[in-house]
Amino acid sequence: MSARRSPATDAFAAVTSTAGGVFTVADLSLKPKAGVKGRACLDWLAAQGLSFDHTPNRATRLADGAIVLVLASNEAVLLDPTGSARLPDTGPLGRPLAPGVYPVPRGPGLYWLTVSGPAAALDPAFSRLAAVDLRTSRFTDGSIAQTQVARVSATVARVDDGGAVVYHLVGDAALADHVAHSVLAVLAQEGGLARLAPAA
Amino acid sequence: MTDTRLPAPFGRGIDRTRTIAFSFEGKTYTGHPGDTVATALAANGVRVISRSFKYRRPRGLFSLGGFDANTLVQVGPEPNVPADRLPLVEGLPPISPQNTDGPVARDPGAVMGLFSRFLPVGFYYRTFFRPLGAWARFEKIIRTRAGLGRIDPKSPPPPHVRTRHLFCDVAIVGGGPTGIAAALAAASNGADVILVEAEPVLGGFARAMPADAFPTLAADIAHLDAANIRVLSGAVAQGLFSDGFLTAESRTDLFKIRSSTVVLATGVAEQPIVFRNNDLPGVMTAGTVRRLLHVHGIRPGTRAVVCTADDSGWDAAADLRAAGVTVEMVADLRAAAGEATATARAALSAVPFRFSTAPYEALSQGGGLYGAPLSAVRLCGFDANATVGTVTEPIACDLLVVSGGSAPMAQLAAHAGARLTPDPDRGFVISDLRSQIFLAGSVDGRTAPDTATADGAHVGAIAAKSALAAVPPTGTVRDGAVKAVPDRPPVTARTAHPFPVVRHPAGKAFVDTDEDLVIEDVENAVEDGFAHPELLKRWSTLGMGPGQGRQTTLMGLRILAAKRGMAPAALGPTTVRPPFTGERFQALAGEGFHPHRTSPMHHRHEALGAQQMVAGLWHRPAWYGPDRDKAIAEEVAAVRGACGLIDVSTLGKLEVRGPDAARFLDRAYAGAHTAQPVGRCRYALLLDVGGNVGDDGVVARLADDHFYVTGTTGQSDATYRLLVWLNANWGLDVDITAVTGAYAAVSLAGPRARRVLRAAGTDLDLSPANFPHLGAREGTVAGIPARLLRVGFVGELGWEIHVPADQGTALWDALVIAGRAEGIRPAGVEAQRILRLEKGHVIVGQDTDGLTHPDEAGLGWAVAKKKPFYWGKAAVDFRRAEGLRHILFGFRLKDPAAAPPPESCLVVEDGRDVGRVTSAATSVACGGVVGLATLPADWPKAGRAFSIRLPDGTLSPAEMIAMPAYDPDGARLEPEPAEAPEAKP
Amino acid sequence: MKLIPCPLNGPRPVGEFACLGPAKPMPADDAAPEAWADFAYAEDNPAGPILEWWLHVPSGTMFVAERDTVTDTMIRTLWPADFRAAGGRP
Repeated sequence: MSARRSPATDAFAAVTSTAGGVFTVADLSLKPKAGVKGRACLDWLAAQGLSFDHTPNRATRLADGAIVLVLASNEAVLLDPTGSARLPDTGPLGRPLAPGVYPVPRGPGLYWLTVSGPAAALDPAFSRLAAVDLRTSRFTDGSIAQTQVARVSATVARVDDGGAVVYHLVGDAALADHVAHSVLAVLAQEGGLARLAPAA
Repeated sequence: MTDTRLPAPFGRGIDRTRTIAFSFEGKTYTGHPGDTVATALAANGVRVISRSFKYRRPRGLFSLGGFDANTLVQVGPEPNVPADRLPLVEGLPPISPQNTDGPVARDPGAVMGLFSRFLPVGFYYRTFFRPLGAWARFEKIIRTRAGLGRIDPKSPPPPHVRTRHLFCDVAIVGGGPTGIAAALAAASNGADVILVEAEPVLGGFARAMPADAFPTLAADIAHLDAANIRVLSGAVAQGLFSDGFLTAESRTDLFKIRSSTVVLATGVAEQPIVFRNNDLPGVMTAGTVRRLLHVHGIRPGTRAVVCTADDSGWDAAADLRAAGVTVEMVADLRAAAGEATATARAALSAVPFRFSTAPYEALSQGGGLYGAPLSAVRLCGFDANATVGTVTEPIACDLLVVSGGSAPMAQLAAHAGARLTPDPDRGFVISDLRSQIFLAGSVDGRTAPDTATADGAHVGAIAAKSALAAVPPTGTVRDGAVKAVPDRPPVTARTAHPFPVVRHPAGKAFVDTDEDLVIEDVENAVEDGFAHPELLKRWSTLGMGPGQGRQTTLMGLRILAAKRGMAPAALGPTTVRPPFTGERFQALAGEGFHPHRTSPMHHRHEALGAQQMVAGLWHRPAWYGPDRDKAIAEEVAAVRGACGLIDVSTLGKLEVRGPDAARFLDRAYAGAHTAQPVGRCRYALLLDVGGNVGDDGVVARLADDHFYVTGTTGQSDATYRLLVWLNANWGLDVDITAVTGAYAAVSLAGPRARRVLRAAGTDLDLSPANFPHLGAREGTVAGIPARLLRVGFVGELGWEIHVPADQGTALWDALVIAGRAEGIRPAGVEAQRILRLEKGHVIVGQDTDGLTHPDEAGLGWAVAKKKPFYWGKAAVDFRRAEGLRHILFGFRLKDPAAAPPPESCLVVEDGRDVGRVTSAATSVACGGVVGLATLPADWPKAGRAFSIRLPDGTLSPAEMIAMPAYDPDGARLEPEPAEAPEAKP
Repeated sequence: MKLIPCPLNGPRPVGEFACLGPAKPMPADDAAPEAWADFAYAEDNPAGPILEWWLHVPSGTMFVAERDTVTDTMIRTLWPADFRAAGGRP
């Protein structure tokens, strides 16, 4: 297996954390991810043993720590922050998996960032980045917003972890450098970066 | 220092314990925190702040609300800053007056006033026509004299203004008593509230009144924070747009607010009185006087005359008396007084007063040509028909307080589509408000100060209920358990004067001080034929200055109506549009987010010294190294002689899969794909509905129901959209997924490409028999899962290798290492363009444009002949039947050493242009400059001579050649045709 | 900024969308070129409700929306399948 490189590598390398910062930002782009599309894709995931909310724009954290993002009735993204969860095998070649079920190469195709920090700092920071209401009081645990961040398409999801508020940001890998740079710059201005976790 | 400052209870808004120094016109002055630069100047007795636009008359404080150009100053490098909106803070750069050739109090430019006869309304438009040649002479002078401040292009750019997206249930514009009450009422009814206030401090008009007028103000302001109401102070609401979208601009932020409902508690704008010399420094509105007294503790003069058409002048007179200013006279334009006036009058028992009296002219003395501030005023009789009666002797004064009534600040309502109708008693009446927009307080006719809070509470409650119920309110409480809505105070009967215009035979009665327009200018514009308010506005520029008509539109309308013998309501005001005040480009420019797309190997290109080019949003290496010509020549030579490595990750890529995948591609693309074998590539040509070339690339069939489709970098988004839209119409059982960013891709091209690929390690049989030209295979390269497409854009043996994006760097490194011994070299976009040009390969969007038929671009071969349908077929066939006019041909320049003509140079024949150059480059392989050009379709296919007109006008001789110019038989695509298939291990 | 009601994501600013033009039935595959030219370039441009194709770019949601050109209000949205089922004239 050849070495893999996160598309957000350069953006993370360009910033440093500062004392007194309030945000933690992690680059999870190299963690396992998968995607499926098609009219039968949610049923197919359920048949693989995954139990999650099928409502569009809802995120579910599974028992083994994996996250299912339902983007539409015919599209879902799977994220595994642990690295050891059991994501369904969607095959290496991109062939259709079943009638109405198609794999999407989300592994290399998406960047994945997480942002955590106090609610009082997250609200103004995200007000700079997106034109949807991402306030922690309104954008509750399990919410998904498919919108624009720093002027380009991106998906924002909130999946809290043990009581800590965590925002997940995923989008097209080709835009990773732009989004990561922009997000890190805004967070630095709106409270400072306490901890940076670049892709391992 | 100053003896104009008053002790408490005046000056509640300044902090007397601290002073701040600043510089104006080279002199140092001081003021207090809480001052604006304008009030600090007033405190220091500086009466002349600027010179007027056309006549260079001296100007000073008039309205103190950012309503006029009088207070515009240059602050360091920043021009046109309203000094009455600029808080006095530490560290301001030196401030200078604008529009003056000398000291602002003695500006030689004032000589313009002598030529006023020759500068009537629209005078410079006239010089466009007569006398002939006049504009050419006047232009330079007028351009130097026009404008106010100066921009210094060398000054460093200011810091970014931050954009913030905010959301709420009720957004309230106006932080005076009405807005504050509305905010508290809305919040107590459960709404999420944002309050926007232009001043840095809340309080609005209450600040300009004695403290006992609003005793609970401070406590109410404190409650805002306790009620979790977000207050944006120092933020001007600039525009109200569709669906509750409101923008507000502060020095540091641009707020974009989305609210379910909007309450406009924006108040009223005092209206002036028009009379001779009404622009002299020392003439100011009643509200200005009261603000100077109560907020800033400044005595605006020593001897005052008050001319008023409403009660505010009487209130100002009372305040002046309490501050120790001598009030010589109160002249009321009305015939009789109202109740409030009687109360105010009682406090002014020693002051003489007259009704039916107006100011006739303001006088100054000792200024000579330069002009001087106010020194006296003459009054006159004034009746309901605005007839001027007996004129008094001059009354000495250094302060003339004027109030011509008020008009609602209805601009934001008008942005959102409300109708403003002129009204003799109210200035404007606002109607046709869209649902979810509410007016509160004096803007809606409740001008009596004691109704401000009650009206705010009423409207705030209504707005909250409307927001939370998401249906328009009926004005009654729906749910008995909810808080009762307080009653609405009544509208104040009369707040405006229908015609506060006093004619004087010598003129100089200003209707618009920003633009130096007098009564005669408005009337002359009507006589010139510009009798409609919109035409009058544009011909005269009335209301187009910094004041934006807040104190001039209504006046101009009244004079226009009188001139035409109509009622102002019949004419209507001009359309009001955002922004409310001058909006800085810096705020609109935004964060400085500059979207860009990068290849996974971007960092490798940077490390190799690539010169990047930006194509669409992509950064691509144009060439590698500091010397452009040398690098490109070497890269081209490497591809032709050994092996080149080109990053083509930017190509558009799609997975097209499903039972109907082949059928879909056959319908969408012009080529034949249903019968395309698995493991083969075909040229992909995508047209638009008009039969024009839209995109091109490669269709690779990986399985019966799985196609991998590539396209040009620039069209990837548009192509994806078109295909998804086509299937939205057709409803075939096919999945179309964009994977452009998911795959990194390189083009490995050159006679040694096969050797490099084997050295890097692959599980694929690369022999010509088993991987022929146009083959497509899935396998691994250097252990990385890969799709290999054997295609020849640059005309050499080569493969496009597509791998998962996060392993693109690993692939690049493996190929570089493997290719070292073979002389591999990275090549950039510029080299690639030359290589493909030598083969005559078209670049869509460069050699084609939005109207290129495939036959015109030499792509007719790619259009399937036997398909019953493909997207654009009807147009392709129709245009073929009509006959083509232009065809793309190859050419070479006669002089092999000449420079290549730039793209789009015209081909000229007999003085007419008959075509243009689309691509051209110096080609070592072809021994000169070759290119592609669109030429008349009836010209022969090769040999004919023609001329290209270069940008400098000279003609460059050329001749047509057959393409490809390099390797026409395509032998280079397979240098080892006899190689045996690889033995299986 | 105007809000467009995305059938998947709810009301969103118009800047998140691309309007792809009027929604009308496509001519038959073998229709005369005049019918195709009409489809491509001729629009009735009525004052009143019209049907348009919209794409919510961040989520790739393609849909048809009916909009009143006089009041600039959005009346309803349809999924492509429903638009097709009505023969392009819902």
